[in-house]
Amino acid sequence: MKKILPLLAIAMLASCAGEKQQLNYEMNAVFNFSGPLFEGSNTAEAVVVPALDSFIKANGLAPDQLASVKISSVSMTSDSGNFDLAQSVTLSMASEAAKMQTVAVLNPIPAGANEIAPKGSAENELKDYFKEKKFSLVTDLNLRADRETSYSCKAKVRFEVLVNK
Amino acid sequence: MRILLLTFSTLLLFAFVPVQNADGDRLIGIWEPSHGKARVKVEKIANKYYGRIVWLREPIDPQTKLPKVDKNNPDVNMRTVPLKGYRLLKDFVYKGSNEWTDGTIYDPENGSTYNCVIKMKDPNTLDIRGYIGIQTFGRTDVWKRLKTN
Repeated sequence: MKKILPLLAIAMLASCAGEKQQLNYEMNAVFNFSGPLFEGSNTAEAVVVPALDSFIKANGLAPDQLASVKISSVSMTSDSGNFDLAQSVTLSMASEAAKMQTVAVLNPIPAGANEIAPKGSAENELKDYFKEKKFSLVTDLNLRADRETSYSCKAKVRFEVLVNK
Repeated sequence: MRILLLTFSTLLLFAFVPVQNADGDRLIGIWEPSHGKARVKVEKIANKYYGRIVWLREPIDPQTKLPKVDKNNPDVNMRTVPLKGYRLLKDFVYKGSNEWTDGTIYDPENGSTYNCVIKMKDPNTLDIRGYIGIQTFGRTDVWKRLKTN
């Protein structure tokens, strides 16, 4: 009986998991840091208009059945050589209705890297942002030194989306 | 007459919104808490106000000899976020009467987040009240605006 109970529990969990479908949704953003920039944290905001509803529909599912959105990975590329100008980077999400959350961080940034992968936090539930018409991706770049000129980088943010079937 | 009233009320609405925004923007700037160990820059993102640490009196962790990080964050994945640049005031909305509400304040010394209300006593002084549940049970700190010129 003791062996059957855990098996039953696993079977029940598996059946619950089967009621949701996982999709992978990707979003691109460009961050422009207007110079002059100063040593320490500098912020750039990219306003994005999510198209998650149409993406869910295109996958034959109903957008109102959205169960969860979590970050799965982030990759960032520097538009000018590498990220050596910065010690660390954090990525946050903000909107008028939802509370800001820091969703990924990389500290320290490896020397010479022109593509980096800030580590996302899978704990953050992000679906509220996708219920809005627009939200902001916010990058804080912690610069090693002052810089006269502007700087830009691109981000590709991938989300794990769960939709109830 | 009805059209006139409608036009007047619409004009009034459009006139009010920018005034509200300008009033709220008075929070933007660099502020110093009473302990003087940090300076916090308030900025506006997505129509709300956020404050991040831009200066620390002691930026280096004496144990690691490296720049301080948010080592007490309850989310293990976020413990490498540098404290310099950390956004500890989040999601404040200007509600009028010199008051910004609906926000939170984070205490990096214990990794706790509190509800928070900001009251501007004069253009260079803020009452920052952090609390749990209701405002009565909280603590107020006085922050001073840092003159930048």
